[in-house]
Amino acid sequence: MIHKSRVAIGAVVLTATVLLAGCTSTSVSQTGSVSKAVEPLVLYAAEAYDANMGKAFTAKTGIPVKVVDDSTGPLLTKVAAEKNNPQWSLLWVDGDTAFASLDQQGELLKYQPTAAYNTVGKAILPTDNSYFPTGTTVMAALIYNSAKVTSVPTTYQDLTTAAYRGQVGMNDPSQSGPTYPFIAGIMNQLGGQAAGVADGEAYFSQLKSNGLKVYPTNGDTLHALETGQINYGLIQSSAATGETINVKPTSKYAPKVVYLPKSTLLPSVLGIDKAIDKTQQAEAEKFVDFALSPAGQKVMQAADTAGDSLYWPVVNGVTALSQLPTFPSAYQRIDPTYWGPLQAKVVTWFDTSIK
Amino acid sequence: MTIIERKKVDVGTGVEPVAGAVSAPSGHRVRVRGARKRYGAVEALAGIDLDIEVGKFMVLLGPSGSGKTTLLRGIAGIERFDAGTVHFGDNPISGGQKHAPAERRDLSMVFQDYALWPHLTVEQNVGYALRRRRLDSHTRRKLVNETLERVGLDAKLESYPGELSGGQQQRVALARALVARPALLLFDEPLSNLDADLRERLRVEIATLTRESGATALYITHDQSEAFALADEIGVLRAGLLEQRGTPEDIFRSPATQFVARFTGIAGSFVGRAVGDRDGYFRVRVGDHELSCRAAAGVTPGSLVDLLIRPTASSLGERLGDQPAQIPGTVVDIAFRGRGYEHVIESAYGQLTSVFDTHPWARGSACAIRIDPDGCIAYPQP
Amino acid sequence: MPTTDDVLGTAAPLDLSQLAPLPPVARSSWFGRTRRIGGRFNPITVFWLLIVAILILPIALFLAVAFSPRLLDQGTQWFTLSAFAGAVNSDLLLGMLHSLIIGITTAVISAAIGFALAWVVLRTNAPGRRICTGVVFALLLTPSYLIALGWERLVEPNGVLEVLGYDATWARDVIYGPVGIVVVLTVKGLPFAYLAISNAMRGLGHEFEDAVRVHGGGPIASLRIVLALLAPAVWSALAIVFAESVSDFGVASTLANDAHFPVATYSLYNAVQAFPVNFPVASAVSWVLLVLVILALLAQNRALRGRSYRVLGGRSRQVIRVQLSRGAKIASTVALLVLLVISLGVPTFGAISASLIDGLGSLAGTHQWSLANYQRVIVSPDLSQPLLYSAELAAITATVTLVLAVVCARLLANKGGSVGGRVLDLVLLAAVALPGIVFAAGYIFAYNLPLTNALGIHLYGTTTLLVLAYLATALPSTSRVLVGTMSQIQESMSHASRVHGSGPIRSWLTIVLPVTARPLLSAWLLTYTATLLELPVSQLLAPPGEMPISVGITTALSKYDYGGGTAMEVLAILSALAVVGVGYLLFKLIAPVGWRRIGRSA
Repeated sequence: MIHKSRVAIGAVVLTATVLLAGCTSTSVSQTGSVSKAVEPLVLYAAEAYDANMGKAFTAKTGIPVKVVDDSTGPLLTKVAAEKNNPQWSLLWVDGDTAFASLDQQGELLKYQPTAAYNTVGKAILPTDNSYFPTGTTVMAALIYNSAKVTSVPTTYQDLTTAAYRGQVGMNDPSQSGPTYPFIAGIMNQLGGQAAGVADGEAYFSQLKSNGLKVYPTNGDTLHALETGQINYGLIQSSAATGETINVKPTSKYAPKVVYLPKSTLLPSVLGIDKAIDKTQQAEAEKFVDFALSPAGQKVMQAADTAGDSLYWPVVNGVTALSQLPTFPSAYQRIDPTYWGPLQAKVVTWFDTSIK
Repeated sequence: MTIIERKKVDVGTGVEPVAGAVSAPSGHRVRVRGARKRYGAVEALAGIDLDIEVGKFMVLLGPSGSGKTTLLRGIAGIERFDAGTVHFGDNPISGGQKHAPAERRDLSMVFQDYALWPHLTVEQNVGYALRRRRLDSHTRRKLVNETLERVGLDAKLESYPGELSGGQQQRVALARALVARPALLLFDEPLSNLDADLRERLRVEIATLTRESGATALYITHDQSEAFALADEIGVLRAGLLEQRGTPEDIFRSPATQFVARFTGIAGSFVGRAVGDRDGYFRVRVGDHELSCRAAAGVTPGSLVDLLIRPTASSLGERLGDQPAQIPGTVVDIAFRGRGYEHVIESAYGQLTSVFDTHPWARGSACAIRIDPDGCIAYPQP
Repeated sequence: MPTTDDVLGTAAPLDLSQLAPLPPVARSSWFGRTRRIGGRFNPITVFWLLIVAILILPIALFLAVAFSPRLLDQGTQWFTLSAFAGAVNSDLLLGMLHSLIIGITTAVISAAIGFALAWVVLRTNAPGRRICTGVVFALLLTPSYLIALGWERLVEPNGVLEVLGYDATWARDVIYGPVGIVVVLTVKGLPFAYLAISNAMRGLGHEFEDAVRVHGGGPIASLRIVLALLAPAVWSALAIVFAESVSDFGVASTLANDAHFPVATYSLYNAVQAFPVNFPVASAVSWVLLVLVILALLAQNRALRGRSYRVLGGRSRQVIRVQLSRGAKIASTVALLVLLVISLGVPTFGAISASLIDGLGSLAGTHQWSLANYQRVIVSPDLSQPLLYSAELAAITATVTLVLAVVCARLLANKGGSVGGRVLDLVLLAAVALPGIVFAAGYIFAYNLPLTNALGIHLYGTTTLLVLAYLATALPSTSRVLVGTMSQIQESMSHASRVHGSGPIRSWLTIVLPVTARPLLSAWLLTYTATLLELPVSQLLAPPGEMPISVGITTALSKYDYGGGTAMEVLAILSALAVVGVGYLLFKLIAPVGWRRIGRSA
């Protein structure tokens, strides 16, 4: 008995020592920030350019930015778990459904950015200014292997015809973030908010009976295209453009991209946490303006030229990277307040009926 | 090879004895008062008082579950009594809120399972116990060597415990216990894992080396022959209580209770009715016979008694007519014991084992059991 | 027998002048280092406070959300059962049944293979046995998605098998289903089973097997005795693999998902990873996992009731290796090879095909084999910074975890002992059974409470909290891996040290530490490697501005940089394997000869 407790003493002492050492090294920066005029911003972000943007913003304004860079899923989980005591100042991820939901729960700060949005940007910008698109991609780009096939579809309906039997692949909405907006977009296009999901479901069922293949994410669908499992893939525009940049065409594999009407907008979106104090609010607003400014957009476009930088600008005075095609003329924005709440239901349906 | 011969050699090799160091005992006087210990629903110690005088060899004898191990571990400091005090000399060791840890008690211990440390050599195992003496390495090595020589293992210094036989391992453990000359030596059934031949030899070594060291010794066992052979004093434990304590002779001749008598060895027992005193002995009627015996406390004339007979108190004779002091019986079995024969005898009142005679009696033959009244004790029936 | 006088008369006693008296302190102050009961500082209390803080509180808060979403702002109701209704409505019941079956199957297979592997490695002269420890650690490091990826590359349409001209349809049907799930989970569970069992087997002398053989038992009977003697370790292995399997998240979201084979964690995955996040439902599913684990624990307790097997001690003999016949050698080598290929070869292939091929994991076309990904990643600060950060945290975590795990293992090893031991057992297994993401969310709940902040505890968002969470994640499995060892130590060995004059700390350092050095080293390395690539806790608890390597890898993968991500992963795994190698090498070079003798075979 004695022995056991002595071991415990040792354990506790050692633990305490190590923890104290850890505390002193990390907590200084934590507590030191409370009363200063400049407070660091905490940016939860899932964009390839987020770290560079943080640095550029600090360089310009002197306001430090701590970037928590991760995938969208874990970031949203973190935001949800922190609900009773949010720790983020800014959230920057793809898609506006999460923001619409956060706005409904009253978690977002409303702000009128100084930048002038272009036509596409105005289509995405919410009326209450609760979140801010910083650029947009679309779902879906149709990427196909022009070395193996010549026929190119012009509508989504074409993909259900015999010419494309067994050759089309797409991502799994339960694992690929951009894929639900695509499915919702089709449903929106076919049935709309008035008719609901039925027509869209019928369309995907037709695709399935025409031999649709479902892969987990953009990368897996591309992999299937490269290995010849499919010849047409429905993926996010940035991933598709990136592939055409990365790959030197050969006699076996030469990827090309087309956009079928309509393309669903999938913006990258910034939002400000309502719970932060006034000083931070002002700083966060500066960050939003910086992201929408030409200087900020330049940083975003330089950070990941074969990936996330391949977006179409949503503000005036900024041009897309030259590798991007012109913006698809037939596009639509889907209402996140309508389609957001349907996500779980639609994904489950897709899971059981299509996959 | 005996220890004593080896030590004569030692003298020749120049280790000078220090006069007086050995003859003046340096052991603890151990005093335990009211020791209690409970494990869940089981009461291991029910309030025990125990005194061991300086330099004495005390053996605690008891069956498993009697609390002897708990008492030993409490004195060692490995466990803590729920209540009660322990003093070494005038120093309080354990009691109330206070509890000196084992390493501060200046004692050592030989364990039933040897408890040698498998990662240390024999030399390191023994030397470990010297650390508290803060010796220079030369002296330490010398003491270790000498002590290992005493137990006949000086050739095994570099061996690991795993390479030794059971008997050798327990000798190393004994050397380890002795080397630092502690004031109290504790033995936790050290012989019970050894075979009979080794057991006898190691017992002798324990007896001699312990007494030579001058330490007080406490030895627990369930084997009465070990207890009688080793002890200056024996305490018999039963269900957490000290049933009787005394010299081996006291315990053997005058067991205070039926339990003590039975646990220290009997040939058998009869049931009889107490008659009364006659000629300095007590008379008990067993069937048609009347036997002389000694009576334990609480035996009153006319009451039913258990008559317990020591193996040494019975002998065999021819059945000659009707003699009331002799019980007629039949030889059931016989065992040759070197100096004579031990017989198992069936009588009308029960079976006796270990009935001695210098001559063998054939199985099945009729005989008469003679009983020495000094080795025959009547107890009131429980 | 000579009398006392005879002995004294003829004896040449020890030279007592050489014996210094005990230091004065020892003689005069008997209570110099006495422990006071009920004093100010009770270490056991502190230990339990720590357990409550790092394990019980976060788990309890997370579980409370199922009943009371309002408590943590996850809903409007203070008390409701609707989360359970929501959970049960889905495929949960079927998923639970599947999880149970898969958990049991995986546990039994892992324990059986782990036992066989331990026996071959420790008890036979089978060729190739020396590389097994390395293999086990490599397995431990390999994330389940990489194993799944490897299998997919192999059996997918136009995958390796088909490129090589084999029809992989049948293999695809088998792998994309319960069999594939069991294979992946078994591979993940094997290291735990092997470490738990081999640590115990090391301490087991050969005499027990000899006893069987001389009493007429054959090799099978002898194996049964060894099995019975190692029962605590075997049950530990079963319990931990079961808990790890039912709580596995990676397989639930990949193979099980693709195969339309619902498991209990899949509902949880949907509740936590899909937006909007629904913690109450996740919490309800966690209750279900907890029930499964309690069932496993009850089975273990029932099987081990009141038995203990203390065999690691001074009396244990050296082990004699079984000299295998030529046929047996061939058989064992083939078995080891098959194991190696299934467990490590396939995922290695997956990782290498992804990281060595420039661009994506394509097998045709322009993509060339190249080291470009590695070149890119090695020079990039995106790798070195996170890797160093994670390595530092993993080392701290492993060290502290080891200390706490020893205490836990000791408490757990006292079978049928204290109530505390049983509570700890349950808490530790519950922690294994709850997926990391649940655990991490519980940490946010517990350490981001306005109340906690009001109390002046600002742990959330610090590296300290991340380490505490790592600690809590690693402690359960590390403790369980050590239980086998700790339950084998003969108590008398440390008692002997105490009565021969060593204080508690010195006795621990000189006796218990050397005897358990090798298992402790294994446990440290196990914790280090597991922590280095830990994902869910890192994702939710990494402080702003710091990036653990696992987050770096996932981020790279999520940005379609498969080559770079997998290259980082391979490099991280190689770095961990290097640490393992250096660890054992140092042990071999530095540890005293006696330390290395424990469990060594003749």
